[in-house]
Amino acid sequence: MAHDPHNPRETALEQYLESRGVDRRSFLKFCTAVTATLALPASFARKVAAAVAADDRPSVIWLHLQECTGDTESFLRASRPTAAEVILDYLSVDYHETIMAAAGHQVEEVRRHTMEQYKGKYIAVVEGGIPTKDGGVYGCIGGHSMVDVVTEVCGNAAATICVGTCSAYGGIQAAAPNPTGAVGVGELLPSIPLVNLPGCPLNAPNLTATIVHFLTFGTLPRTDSLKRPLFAYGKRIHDNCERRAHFDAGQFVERWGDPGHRQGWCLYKMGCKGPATSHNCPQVRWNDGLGWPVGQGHGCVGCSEPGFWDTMGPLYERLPNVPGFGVETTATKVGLGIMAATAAGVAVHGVAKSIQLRAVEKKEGN
Amino acid sequence: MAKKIVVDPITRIEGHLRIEAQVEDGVITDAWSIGTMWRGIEKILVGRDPRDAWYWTQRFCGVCTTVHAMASIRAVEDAVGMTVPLNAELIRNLIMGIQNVQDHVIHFYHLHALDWVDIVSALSADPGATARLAQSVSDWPKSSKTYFKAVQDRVKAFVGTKRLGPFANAYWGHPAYKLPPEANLMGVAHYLEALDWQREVIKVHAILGSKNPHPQTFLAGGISLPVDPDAQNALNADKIAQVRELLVQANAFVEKVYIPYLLAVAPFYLDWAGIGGGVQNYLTFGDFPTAEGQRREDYWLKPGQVRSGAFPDAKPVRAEAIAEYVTHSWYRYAGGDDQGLAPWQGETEPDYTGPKPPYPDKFVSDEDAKYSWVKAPRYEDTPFEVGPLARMVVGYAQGHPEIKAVVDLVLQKLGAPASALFSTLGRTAARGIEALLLSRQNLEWVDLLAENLGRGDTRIQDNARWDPSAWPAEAEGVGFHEAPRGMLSHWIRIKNGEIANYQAVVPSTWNASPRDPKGQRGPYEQALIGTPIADPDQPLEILRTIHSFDPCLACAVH
Amino acid sequence: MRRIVVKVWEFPVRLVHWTNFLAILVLCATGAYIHWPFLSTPTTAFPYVMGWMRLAHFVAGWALLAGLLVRLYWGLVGNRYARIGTFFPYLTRQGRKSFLGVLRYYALLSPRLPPHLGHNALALTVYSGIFAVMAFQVVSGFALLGQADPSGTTYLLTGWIFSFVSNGWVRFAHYAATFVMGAFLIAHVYAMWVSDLAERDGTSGSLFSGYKYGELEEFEDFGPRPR
Ligand code: HEM
Ligand code: HEM
Ligand code: NFV
Ligand code: SF4
Ligand code: SF4
Ligand code: F3S
Ligand SMILES: [Mg+2]
Repeated sequence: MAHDPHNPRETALEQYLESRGVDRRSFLKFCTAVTATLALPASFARKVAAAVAADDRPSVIWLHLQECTGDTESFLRASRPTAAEVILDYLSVDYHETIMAAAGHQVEEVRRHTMEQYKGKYIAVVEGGIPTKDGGVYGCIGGHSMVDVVTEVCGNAAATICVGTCSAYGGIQAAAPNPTGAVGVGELLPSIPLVNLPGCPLNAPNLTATIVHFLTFGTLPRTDSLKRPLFAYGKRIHDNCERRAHFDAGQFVERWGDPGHRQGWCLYKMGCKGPATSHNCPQVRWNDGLGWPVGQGHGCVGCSEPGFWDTMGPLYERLPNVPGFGVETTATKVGLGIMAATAAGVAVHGVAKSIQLRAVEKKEGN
Repeated sequence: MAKKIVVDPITRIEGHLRIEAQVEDGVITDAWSIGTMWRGIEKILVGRDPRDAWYWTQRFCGVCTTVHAMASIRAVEDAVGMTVPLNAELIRNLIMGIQNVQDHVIHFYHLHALDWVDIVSALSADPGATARLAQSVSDWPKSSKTYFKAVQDRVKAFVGTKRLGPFANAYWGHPAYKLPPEANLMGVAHYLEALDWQREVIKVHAILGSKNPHPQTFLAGGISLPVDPDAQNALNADKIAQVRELLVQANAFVEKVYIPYLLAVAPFYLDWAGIGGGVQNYLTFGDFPTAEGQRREDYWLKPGQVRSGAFPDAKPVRAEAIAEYVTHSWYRYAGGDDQGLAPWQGETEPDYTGPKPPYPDKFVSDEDAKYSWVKAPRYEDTPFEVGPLARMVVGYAQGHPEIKAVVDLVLQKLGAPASALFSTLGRTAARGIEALLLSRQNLEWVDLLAENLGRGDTRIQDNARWDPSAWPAEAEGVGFHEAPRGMLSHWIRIKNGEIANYQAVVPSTWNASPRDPKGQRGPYEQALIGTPIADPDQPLEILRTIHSFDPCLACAVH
Repeated sequence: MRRIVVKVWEFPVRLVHWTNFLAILVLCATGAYIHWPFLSTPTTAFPYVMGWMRLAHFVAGWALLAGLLVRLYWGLVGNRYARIGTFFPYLTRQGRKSFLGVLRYYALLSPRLPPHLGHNALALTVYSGIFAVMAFQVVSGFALLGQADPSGTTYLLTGWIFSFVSNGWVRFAHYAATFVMGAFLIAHVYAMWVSDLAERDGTSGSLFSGYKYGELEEFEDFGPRPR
């Protein structure tokens, strides 16, 4: 991208970057990378650059609910841009319990103040499910139920980004029998502008790309029916998997550590849920592209799918168990049982019927 | 004049912790540790495939990610009698080892440092003097005047926007901050540097574990990462070199940045070597096997307990001495709430009796006998502290050569007696010492792994016992692991291939526990007693002592 | 008593029945492989086993879809024995009576089936069920197939399923339905055999020839009247 010194916007950008101690080249490199993640034409890089550099950094309230902080940790592993850049330069992260210096009343005050000052303008990021049962007693912050906190914070936000499968769809705690009545934000607040970035945890580039999309275009990226951005959840793992050729060839890992496993064969028979999962792990991978579950020899467990905790288990079986029975009860067992029962029933009936026929025929005098 | 104060939420921790404290004449005289969130995962596990448990329990926590997976697969292995091949043990050691190191550094710089380091004061530091200070404690190549100047400028520009984000409304200028501006600037620089470092070194997890957080190569009975020096899709020499490189980078930062900084600032806070000791009983069950089928007593860290009164006498430990109480926790036991249940018999039935939300102006500890979602684990009916301090104290008492050498060196540098370890400062120092030792040990283990691969061993899994049809109809097992925050145990009962009961007794459950039926306080509560509070509206000192434990409430409650 | 021969099954009905049968055989066999690829690891000489299995599955899947569509059309324009309405005998009084009669017959309480020329009342009910299962397999099958290309037409038509039911359960149901087909086949073939043996009405041959025979007095039919 050529530099245009006469463009006033670019000059402002220059000065801004200088004031931030960011060198222009690495900044533009970042913008190009983001543009690519979003699958935009290269000409958008400039637009991206201008958007992220404007000094009206959007305010962010990042909530922690029923969660494990895995998505925050994942965000800390972001590299384009880095977490430090996002926190210091691109956004004003005004509330985030894991990193805030203050505590208690002081942070409660910050949250209230941010919500008032930037009403309808701030971005809410939510990590974790929401316990709705028994009046919300299973999760409280500063004496307020998480239901109340999330309703207030997301209800007044310009947009809500759900990071991780917990805030998107309820997550692990929503697994049967869901003792706390956990739900995702979309289920609690169906009508707010919202985008889901599921994954357990969220993969960092998907968050940074979503944020930059929002900064650049002022809108959330296009999503599927589960409110997941198409740029990150538009295709199945299985259709992008590096082991797909082995699947088609019929080459499968049969036991952990067998020669096929060492040769990178398909993990289908070890329970891989790639065929049932939409996520961009095979392309962006994790931690700067160094690994991803299937690449390192373990099946995908479908961590970005709603309900994955109950539908993708048992992890090492191909299909879910028959609900309501034990782990040993597979569809194969039940199905073969039904067929065997039918065959047995038919055989018994056949014998009985022949006897009856003979009796009838005798009576009719043949 | 006694006054009750509340800090909720406690920030810069994992999870939802509320502290209530009684303050009299500027000193805390009583305290209550309150976990305010429950997820019910122990209940959710019942009826599932034991081989899946690691995946679900790993989601207890994404900060100490990996640790519950480890304890869980060990519990299943113990129950059904799996033997873990050496390759898998060593790869697990590396995953656990780097987790520990990375977690400790993040804790020190990103969760704990701002209790001691005043960012605002850093703005008035002299970058030249800062560089001289930094160079006097370590030969870290970055410590130049231009480097510290750039950091300071960046922070100045940030502060200039008047939007302080996560650093807003904090306790800057509080009288308990004691560092000179230069030491503060150095801390701020490290804060930013560690943010980059943690992202890099944890790539070991991506290579060996497929991703971080929540690595996904764990298996009951081994590891799902194939190893083969002659295969492109397995752990081979190239990937081992990559891992080694990252481990060297991890070790260098700890040796040359973290530890020197710790030693440079500790003298300003030596009064904290007399505050925050707490229950002063220390427990560890040992970890890091280095040979196949090794006994726990031969692991690199050995099991043991020390009661401070008897220090330096370390005693052996037994699993049967562990029990959990719910007298003051929001659960009920079928057989009565005052009994202690051994985890295999454990129950997790919620029974909330606290105030109905919203309750911003109430004290939860006033309400009722029960006041927290955290259970109260006890060892021989006694509260114990677990964590890096426990491991270092026990190792020191046992005469563990590596531990003893470094602990002695640190004590000597600070001119402090061994008993100074039993404190807020001691806890924070022990974490640094452990990070140092483990960052060195990782390099040994990666070499052991390479050596074993070189012998042609490519086994990664006990396949003979993978299928549940090879298991006994009924079995129970326990998996111990020394997680960053301390001794972790998972307890499983298996019936017909299914989980019949699952209980996790977690480091932060030990440390954040409420009172037990005898009224004995948990470690956080006990440690807060005697902590000075300069200004009850600015509870900086509470944060110091609480943070020194590195709380993780998602772990504690699960 | 007058012995008669009646043409009940017109050509499209017979054609569809047997193409469906063949398609389902292929679908079950290839489906079994897709579910649990049992063939030992192929050599380079035959390197695309799963690919071929899936291709065969999808071709047979298209054939099944085509068969069902033809049969649906014939259910609108075919003879009285082929009409859609006739598949719901329990909606008329006479049909219900006949239905109970068949149940009594299978419970061995009566030696003979109630008179009928097309399918008997119980058979009709079971067939409507098995048609539904086939339709479900087609919809779920195409939904699973369509996922490979979420911007394609197939996904447009079937992808909505996944906003309601998780992917894992759609697969599970598609797999489980296979056993329903298997159980049906056993019972179905047995019923033909019994009917041949006891009724001597030519049922089993009828789906090849199209003709059934019997005593005229026995046939009091129910269902929609012929055109
Ligand atoms: C009687 C009809 C059918 C039977 C018995 C049948 C059987 C099966 C079975 C047993 C599987 C394996 C399921 C698993 O374990 O995941 C399967 C998969 C599949 N079937 Fe069918 N199927 C039928 C009809 C169809 C139709 C009409 C289509 C449409 C094209 C279809 C498309 C598929 C697809 C796409 C898969 C998944 C294959 C993959 O992802 O590799 N099936 N089927
Ligand atoms: C998967 C395999 C099969 C399926 C799904 C199936 C399904 C059906 C259906 C839906 C009908 C009703 C036809 C209509 O009105 O369109 C039917 C009738 C019939 N099928 Fe099959 N069929 C199968 C296999 C067979 C086989 C193997 C035979 C031969 C032994 C057979 C013999 C017949 C006969 C004789 C009838 C007419 C019986 C009557 O009057 O009720 N079918 N079948
Ligand atoms: N186990 C575990 Fe933990 C705890 N407590 C560990 O280090 O943090 Ni999330
Ligand atoms: S989605 Fe996963 S990583 Fe994120 S909070 Fe939930 S359990 Fe943790
Ligand atoms: S490893 Fe999983 S995602 Fe990859 S091709 Fe095989 S089944 Fe599909
Ligand atoms: S388990 Fe999750 S991380 Fe990716 S490969 Fe599967 S979606
Ligand atoms: Mg527990």
